[in-house]
Amino acid sequence: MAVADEVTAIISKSLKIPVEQLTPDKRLDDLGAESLDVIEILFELEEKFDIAITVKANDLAPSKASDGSAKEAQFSTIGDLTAEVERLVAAKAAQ
Amino acid sequence: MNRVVISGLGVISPVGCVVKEFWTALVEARSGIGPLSLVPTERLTTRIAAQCLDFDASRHFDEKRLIQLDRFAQFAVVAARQAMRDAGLELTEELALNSATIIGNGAGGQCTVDESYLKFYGQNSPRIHPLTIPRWMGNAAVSQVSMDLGLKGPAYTITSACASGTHAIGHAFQLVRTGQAPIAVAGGAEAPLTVGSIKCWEALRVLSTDTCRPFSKTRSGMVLGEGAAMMVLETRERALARGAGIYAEILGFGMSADAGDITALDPDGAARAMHAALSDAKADPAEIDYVNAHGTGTPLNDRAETQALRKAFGASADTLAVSSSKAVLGHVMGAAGALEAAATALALKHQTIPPTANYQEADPDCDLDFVPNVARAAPIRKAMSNSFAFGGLNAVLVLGAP
Repeated sequence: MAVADEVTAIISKSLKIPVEQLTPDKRLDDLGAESLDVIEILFELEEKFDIAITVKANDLAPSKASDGSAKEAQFSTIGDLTAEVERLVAAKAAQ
Repeated sequence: MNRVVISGLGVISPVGCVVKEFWTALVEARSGIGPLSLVPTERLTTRIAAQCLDFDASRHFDEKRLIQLDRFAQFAVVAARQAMRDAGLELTEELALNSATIIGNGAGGQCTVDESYLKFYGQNSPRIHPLTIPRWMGNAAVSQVSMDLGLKGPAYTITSACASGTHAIGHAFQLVRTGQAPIAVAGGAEAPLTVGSIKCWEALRVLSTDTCRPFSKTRSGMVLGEGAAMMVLETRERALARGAGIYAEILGFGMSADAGDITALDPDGAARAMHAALSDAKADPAEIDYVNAHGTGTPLNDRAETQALRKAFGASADTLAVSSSKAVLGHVMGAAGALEAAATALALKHQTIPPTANYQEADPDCDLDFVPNVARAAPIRKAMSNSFAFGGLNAVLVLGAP
């Protein structure tokens, strides 16, 4: 299974949403994922691929910048998260 | 109903194991957060913690006694001895028979668990020390304190994660107020700095790698700490009759449950606990001059607590001074509320507001007066101490000037 499919499968299992609906442009918060859901998904991905995804719970939710403008969450979409996992898996294979 | 006062304090903290040092560090915004040195860090990413490096157990206990005591119970006993000495109470047999001991801790003897499991699972040792269970049990601290001081009345442990110490003081307050106990020793103790439990906190992704900066725009999470605070509570009548020094009066205690998320603070639940405490104290929000906030330094907590304060205080939120002691003390889990109630009592006694240390930049989401970095001499009539635990359990104390 390709990395992207594995990522989708793990998200699908965690959020109980069929894989067909989990396209890369979908935002995790729009899918109803709360901070703890995302932390669990990250853990499953780390276990699956034996990688370390360094992100804090703080950065998983949108916030406001100093000027009051909206600051985007890290890994806000499935595509963002997949890209990060692919990068880490490739970096591990290159070692 | 009795009026209840705090007549003795004892602390074991990352900024000193004497009340005077503890208070001075809070006022000077001197943080006890530093390089993690109590445990090996090879398997951790955490490099900082608020450790009680000045604490030397061998100065307080002989070997025979020490073998019974996990680090958290050592902290509890030494802080309780300090508080009793500070109160100057002569414990007659009659008084001892009814005196209460109520202590909060988030977990039990975590150092003991970690050491035992490392030995058993990690090193395949066939044996475990015979006193592992008495050291580890959740009530170890309260039992050891009652034994050490000879307090023979109501005694139990309260565990509500980061609100444990506050719940314990609140319940002890109720026992003395209603006359069920003439005096109480109450507080919190925690020694959570083991490789195993730090690893568990890392998994939750809420620890800062920088430092604890409550309410600052640049805050990056919480920092684990260890320690204990104990206080002697007695009726105001008894304290005045014996000419005791009084730090503060406990005026009210309020509790609530969010019944919502397991980790995220709900501003509504927190505000309900503040309302309950104000109502119990028969205090108007405008009479509160200072709030010692829960202020963990995570973006989520501090934002939600700001909303909760606005909700509970309405218009008077804008004139309220709010600070978090966690930048100085770290987050001492079950002891946090007790250490912070002690800080609040000292603020009332000294009529000085301890600042929020490590504060760098204002956050539009946290728009209250957080007394950044510099203490403020100001009249404090009444003050509040907030604790909001994982699991949505909230506890709030309202204290009054002595």
